[in-house]
Amino acid sequence: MNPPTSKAQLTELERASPLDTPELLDRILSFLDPYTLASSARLVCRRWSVAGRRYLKPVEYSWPEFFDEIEEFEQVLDMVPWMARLRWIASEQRSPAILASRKTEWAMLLNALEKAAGNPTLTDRKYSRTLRQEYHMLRDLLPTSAFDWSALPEHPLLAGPWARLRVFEVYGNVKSEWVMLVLPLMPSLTKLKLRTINGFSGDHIQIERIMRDCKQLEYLHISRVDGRERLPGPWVPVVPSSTAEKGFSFSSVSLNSLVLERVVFKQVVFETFLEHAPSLKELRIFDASIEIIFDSIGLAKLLRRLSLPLESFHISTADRTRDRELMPDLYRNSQSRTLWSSDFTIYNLRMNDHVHNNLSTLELVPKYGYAEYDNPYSALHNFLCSSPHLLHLKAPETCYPIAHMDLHGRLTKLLAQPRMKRPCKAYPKNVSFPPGIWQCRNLKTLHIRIFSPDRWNEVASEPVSEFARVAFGYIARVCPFLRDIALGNGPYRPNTAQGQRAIQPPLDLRLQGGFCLLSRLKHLERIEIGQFTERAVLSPQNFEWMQESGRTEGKKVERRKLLERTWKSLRLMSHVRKSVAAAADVYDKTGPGAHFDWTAVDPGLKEELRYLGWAVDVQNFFDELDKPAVKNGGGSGSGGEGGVECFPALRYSCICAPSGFYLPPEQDYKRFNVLPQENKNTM
Amino acid sequence: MTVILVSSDNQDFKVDKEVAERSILIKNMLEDVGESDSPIPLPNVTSAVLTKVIEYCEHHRNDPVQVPEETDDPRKRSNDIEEWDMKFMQVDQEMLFEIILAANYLDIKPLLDVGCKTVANIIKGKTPEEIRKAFNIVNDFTPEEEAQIKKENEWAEDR
Repeated sequence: MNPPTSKAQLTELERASPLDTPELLDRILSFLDPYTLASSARLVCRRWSVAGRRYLKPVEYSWPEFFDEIEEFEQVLDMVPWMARLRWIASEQRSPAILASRKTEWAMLLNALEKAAGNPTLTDRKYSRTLRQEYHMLRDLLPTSAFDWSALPEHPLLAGPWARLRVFEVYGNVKSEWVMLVLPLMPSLTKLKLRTINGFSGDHIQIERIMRDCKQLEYLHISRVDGRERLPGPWVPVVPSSTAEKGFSFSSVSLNSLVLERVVFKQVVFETFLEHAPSLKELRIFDASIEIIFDSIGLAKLLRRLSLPLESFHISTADRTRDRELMPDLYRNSQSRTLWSSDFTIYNLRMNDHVHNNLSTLELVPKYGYAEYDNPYSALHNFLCSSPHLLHLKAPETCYPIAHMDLHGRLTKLLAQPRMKRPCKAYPKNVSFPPGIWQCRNLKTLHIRIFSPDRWNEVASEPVSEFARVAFGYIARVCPFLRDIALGNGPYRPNTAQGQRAIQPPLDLRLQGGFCLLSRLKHLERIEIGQFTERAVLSPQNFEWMQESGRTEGKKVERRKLLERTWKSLRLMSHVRKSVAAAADVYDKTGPGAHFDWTAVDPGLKEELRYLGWAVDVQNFFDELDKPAVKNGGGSGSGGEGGVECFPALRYSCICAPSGFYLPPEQDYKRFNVLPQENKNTM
Repeated sequence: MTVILVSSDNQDFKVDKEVAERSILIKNMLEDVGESDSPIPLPNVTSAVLTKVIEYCEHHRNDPVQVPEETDDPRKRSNDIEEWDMKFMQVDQEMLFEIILAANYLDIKPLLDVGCKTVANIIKGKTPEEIRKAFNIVNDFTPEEEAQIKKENEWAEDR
């Protein structure tokens, strides 16, 4: 080989790249927005991945009303310039003080967004007169020195002109004008989710404005919990036209997904939208009310003509699901099915909606809020017991009777205890809920509510351990590959079919409730348990076992104490069940930390405990915690920190928080630990 | 007053001291050496690159020296590259990289930032594969590692 002769050749060979110098690569990546970092830069190679990691956070902020101090809220707003996702969650509380502080929050958000966008002048945003008035009203709320941006902490992304908000979610009651005021300042938004409880106060939400302000929007979700939200047209931007007779035309939108729940609109508005949304992949409209008249034949024709690239489709209106008549081809070939019904009976599932056991995704959306799934002839249980291919069950508002999970009739036995009998039983004795094992062993997603149709635990404000233990134990064993789990409990409505007040006890998340049985689910990535209102019965100690545990002697002693406390509380229940006391005695004899001596246990009790798995599993669980660390590559000395990580894959957790309010697990635990005492009492 | 800079290929560049001192490296050198006419050798910078760097420093000679992390509106600092700088940076990738390396070596922070922002702009909107192709980077991920990172970045995918 000839040595390089010319200078050009030499530089070619020796050419260094700034990308090879760590600090230069670092600098370059620091100028990227979080989205580009996450979606492409970090996937280039190992070095980029490591270098990019440090610039990824913080990117996601929720803005719930947990903030007790406005300062906390200010801290969140400080992050606006490099925020990727922002969620605003409000409860239904409507006291004047809360409403006023809510208004201030929006004023501050508006201000923060304006600053982040470089203070565009008001005229840029073409607000209408009402919006202008609202704008000035919000601005007047701000003290002149609301934000001292010069005092902002240093952050590398602050130097990047591309820091952008991609996802904005609003849950709760809010004035529609406030949303419309902030949207022009979020031009990079790709996902917008608006979920109101009693509808937006103020004017209607203008989809046309949203489309004009957020040109990159791909996902739009508008829903209302109570009543119906009117969505006036048009839904696509109107542009002045020189050729058209009318003097205007519509421009197309790049929306991929449109999800609407409980809305009112005109069919012509909807059809115009469809004609201008060529990339629509997901179209789901639940419980819509079409103004004047719904022409399903015309709509079906239009859908056929447009041949949109739809992958997911659902339209239900006037008490009927219209999927089959509107999109027959898609309906026949799809592996996933969305049912919108008030009654998931065998008839409904099998006959009416052609639900076969080859489905991979089944979504149940009850018509009137929570479905009172208390018909023993309902088909969900049968479906689960005969559908091995099912991967995703999304029925977060559907109630599933716990008795179907009670394989060994434990709850029935408990009910037989004289003390637990209540004067009025909801069901005649001859109605039974046959237990069975779900065939969908590969289930990845499970969103469901569990409830007991029996009334023995009604009006109980205390968690009932057996109830939770059966549920957690069943799920952890039957579906070991779950990735996404959302468990709620039964209906929370004052009037049931029986005309009696039925309040289900909260799921017991204490140790004796068997919550830790879920730690079998090693693939779990997302967990949602319980409702916001149930926070009252929990304490931080309930989650001690979930914390990453150290292997030091001190930690072991702490855990033993925790376990002893639990056994004690079980012994207190011995008047309910002698067998539990017996189990506790066995434990006492063998001592904490030791294994069970199974030979000494009564065979019947042994079988029951084995089925419930609780005592053994808890023991195993604690044994596992005491074993040498698997994480951090430790495991040599007994003095080192480490320990077993529960839920190694868990990324989002939502324990007794507003639904959908997922946080990274460590933040979720923290939320519990910082919960102020007075809040517990008021809830 | 002028100083003489010597590129790696032994070309002399006569520039105003004020211009040369945009480079913190040269500024420190001059301070160390004191008043002297001796040329300053820059063995890491070729004449082609040095020409560009001097052009940049000439244009920015009147800028306030090393604006210490501006404290005003964050967007102003982050706001896109100045128009002149943008045109200045319209060079091929090889030259762009050389300018960044030279700016790093000569310690000219504003030029370094403009260069890095330009590269970041190139990265933006590209898929990982396109980025690898553009910069000749080998994908050294195992499928598991790639899956893991995708998982970490899940928030970026619209759910």
